[in-house]
Amino acid sequence: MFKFLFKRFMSLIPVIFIISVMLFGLFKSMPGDPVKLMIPAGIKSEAQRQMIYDQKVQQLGLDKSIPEQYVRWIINTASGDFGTSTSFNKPVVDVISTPLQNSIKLNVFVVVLSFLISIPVGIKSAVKRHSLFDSFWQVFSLVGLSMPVFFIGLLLIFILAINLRLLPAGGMPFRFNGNFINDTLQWARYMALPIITLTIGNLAGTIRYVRNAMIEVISKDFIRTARSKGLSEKVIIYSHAFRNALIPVVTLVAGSLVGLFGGAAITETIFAWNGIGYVLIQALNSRDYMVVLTMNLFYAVLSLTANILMDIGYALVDPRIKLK
Amino acid sequence: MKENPILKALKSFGKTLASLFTFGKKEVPVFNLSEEAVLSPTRVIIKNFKRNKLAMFGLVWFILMIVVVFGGSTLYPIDLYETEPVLRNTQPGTGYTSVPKELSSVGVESIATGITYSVALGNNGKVYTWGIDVNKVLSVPKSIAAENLTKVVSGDRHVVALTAGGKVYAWGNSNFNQAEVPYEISNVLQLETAVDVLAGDQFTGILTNKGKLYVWGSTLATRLDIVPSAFQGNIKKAVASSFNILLLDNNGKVGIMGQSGTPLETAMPDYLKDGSVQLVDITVTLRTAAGIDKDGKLYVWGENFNDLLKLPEGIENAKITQITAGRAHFMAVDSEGKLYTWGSNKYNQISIPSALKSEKVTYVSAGFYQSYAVSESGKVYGWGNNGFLLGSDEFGRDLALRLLHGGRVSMTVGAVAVLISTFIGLLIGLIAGFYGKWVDNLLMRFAEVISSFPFLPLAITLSSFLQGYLSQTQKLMLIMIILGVISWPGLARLIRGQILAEREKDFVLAARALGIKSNTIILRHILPNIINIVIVSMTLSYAGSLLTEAGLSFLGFGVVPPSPSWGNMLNGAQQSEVIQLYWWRWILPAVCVLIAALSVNIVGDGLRDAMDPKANEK
Repeated sequence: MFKFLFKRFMSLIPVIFIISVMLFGLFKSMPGDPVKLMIPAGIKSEAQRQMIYDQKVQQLGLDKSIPEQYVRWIINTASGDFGTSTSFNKPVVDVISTPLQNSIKLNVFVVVLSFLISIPVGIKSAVKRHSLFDSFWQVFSLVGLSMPVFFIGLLLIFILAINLRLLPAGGMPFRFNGNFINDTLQWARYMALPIITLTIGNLAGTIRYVRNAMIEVISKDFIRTARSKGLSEKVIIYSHAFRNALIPVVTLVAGSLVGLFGGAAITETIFAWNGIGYVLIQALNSRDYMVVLTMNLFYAVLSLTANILMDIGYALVDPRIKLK
Repeated sequence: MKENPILKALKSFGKTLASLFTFGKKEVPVFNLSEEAVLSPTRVIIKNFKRNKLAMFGLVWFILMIVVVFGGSTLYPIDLYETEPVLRNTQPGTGYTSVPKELSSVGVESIATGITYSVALGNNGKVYTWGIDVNKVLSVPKSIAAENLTKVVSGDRHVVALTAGGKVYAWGNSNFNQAEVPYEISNVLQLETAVDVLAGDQFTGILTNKGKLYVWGSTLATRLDIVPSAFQGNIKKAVASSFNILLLDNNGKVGIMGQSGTPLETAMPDYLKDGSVQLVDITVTLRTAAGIDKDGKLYVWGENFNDLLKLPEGIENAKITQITAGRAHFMAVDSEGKLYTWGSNKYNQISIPSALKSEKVTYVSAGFYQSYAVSESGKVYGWGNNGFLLGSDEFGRDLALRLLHGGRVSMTVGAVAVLISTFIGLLIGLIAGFYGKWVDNLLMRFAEVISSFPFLPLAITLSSFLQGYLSQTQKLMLIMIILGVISWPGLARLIRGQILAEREKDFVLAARALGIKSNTIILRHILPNIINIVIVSMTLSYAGSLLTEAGLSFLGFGVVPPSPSWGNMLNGAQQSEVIQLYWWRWILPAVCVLIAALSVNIVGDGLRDAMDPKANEK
């Protein structure tokens, strides 16, 4: 197991190296000069502007050669220093830590909710194929798959926030008073709509996936054997069939971890949720290279980690797979 | 006679549609077994697909959408840079020019027009309204029924009425208090009597019996509340455009007030300014004015926009009795009842109805983009902008037209992106799968690198950084390329896996034994065996691509305005007032994306089911 993990991590090194070179190259070749944006607008004199410009360039190490800059960046990044955000004028870590927490808060609920719903629904759909229940969820997932996620969000805002005035249309909770119940309620109110939106968007795909995996398994011979042994339907489905259907589902869980961080940009923008996707868009609009660079690297590492998790997950649910 | 080819085309289209549905039934199999055995895999797929009613419906629906979107956008071209800000955010609906029948029988005293509606004063003293309501302008105050009205005028979204006793009523949009008489003005009205009213874009004015003009409403930017002292106290008539008011004094001299430096002021002939030509009536479009003297001679000056200075033939010899102007067109009637129209014809507002051409015109009225005329027989004709079927957007552009053109852009972007990604995925998958070894390893590592970035953030990042200094077309192409270039790894892996399976089969071994080149084996022997999978994958990723484009453009990183796309038309929905008040601006494009993606998904699902051998067994 540990040997496998070690080998797997080692194989990531060239991939991460290529990714970092590609990212760095991409960002170096970008048009626009972020340093110019950092000069305070009040300063009018050309000489003074030039002086501040040179100072900033030196401070950021932009006067060095490109390979040297790359090496410096890699060393800094590896040691946990992700550079300075040009638009916020503070370390990138500080810029993205709170939004990252906000995103994770949101996504934990979404992942848990969507699997809590989609696994039972997917199983039941597969078992009762062509029933009313199955048809309903089939239509639901087909429509859900074809629905732009912002449309779900906008509809929810229109109905629940604007017309019925049940929930806030967007933003972050702010009226805390230290009372635990009140604060939790605040969070819940503001998180409800983004969570519903993301969950609906997720459900469509996952229900289909679980259903197809289950149908595949249910048609296998060992299920017939189990039935002929006289096992109860519950045992057959949940013990025999579902364990075998778990393998594709594991892929989905690992995949959704990354997908939610990336895909949340639209939802977070609609609900003005100060999450990581929202920050990415703001950083792009203000040409804040270091933030964008760090976040893309973060995304890449995240998805590579998810791949490893997926491998481990396979081994956990399927004893036939041995990690070597 | 003329409709024949169209009917023919419709008929054949209907036949094709019908044949798509009936094909399966016709071939009710008698020799079922032998037929199944003979069919090639592709034919089996087609047959299975045709049997699937839902999938066929999806296909027909999708084809219909393509026909409507591409046909419609070709038939109705769009000018990307054309805007009509005054018509912004009008709700869906038509009938701006549907004059109530009753009006023809009672006779027209006057007609006034706002952006989406018109009001008329009948000869019976009753106020008639029609069109689409905006700011409750169609709900005439009840108290007015008892009054003896002499005049009704309309601004852009408010209506002002004047009674014989000089009392002023106003209703509709009152953002700048233009629909209520201010305290100062009511004080003035204690001493003077209002004899005329006028209304413009968010402002209202009254003319009193002492020849004085008072204006209120949105006057801060245009300074319309300052009346030139040379004219104040001597004004006979005042007409309003958006930023100016044109004045006519008792000596027939023309003056102007409001925003300075407009073509109305700069292009005004000297003989009008000094009074050497005396006018009896004036009218004004946005920046062009027209007037007539007592002999019925027409004078036009101002900006030559929309050919407003290009007079119609025969008008120079005619004795003009009435002139009226909309936002971008003029109408005039001569002493013989002949109607002349000129100016912009964007909304057909200068296309005189054929029924009216043979009749004499006794009254004309134009406003915004609508035109009205009353014939000698008393019938009221209305034409011009009859409304927007699906509403208009924040720049007053027709949403239906933009949906057509946006659909073309969205569907094309999605399709080209899928083609690019399929091409790359196919190429890399084929090479990796067939050559194996280090080539495979290298290419798959490369695929891993690309797919290790989450799709949307990478697409956003690339499009934001690369869009710098590109032209509109280049930006469109850039989006297609970005979407295509980053979405191939999935397909490449799928194809590689398939090839690894196909490669081991006997027919490849046989081909090798015959000494056929690797390239030929890949292209002629292996590729046909996996092309079905490629097609299904293309269909499903096309649906995904439509959604991605919409999402990107919604965030502002996809197709950039003024080019419309279903995604960027939704961009306004990031403001809550748009979600709340202007539902048509976000629901309609989103529904378009939804039904397009849905139909493609249905077709993709149908194809996949049709290919699934387990489904064939039955």
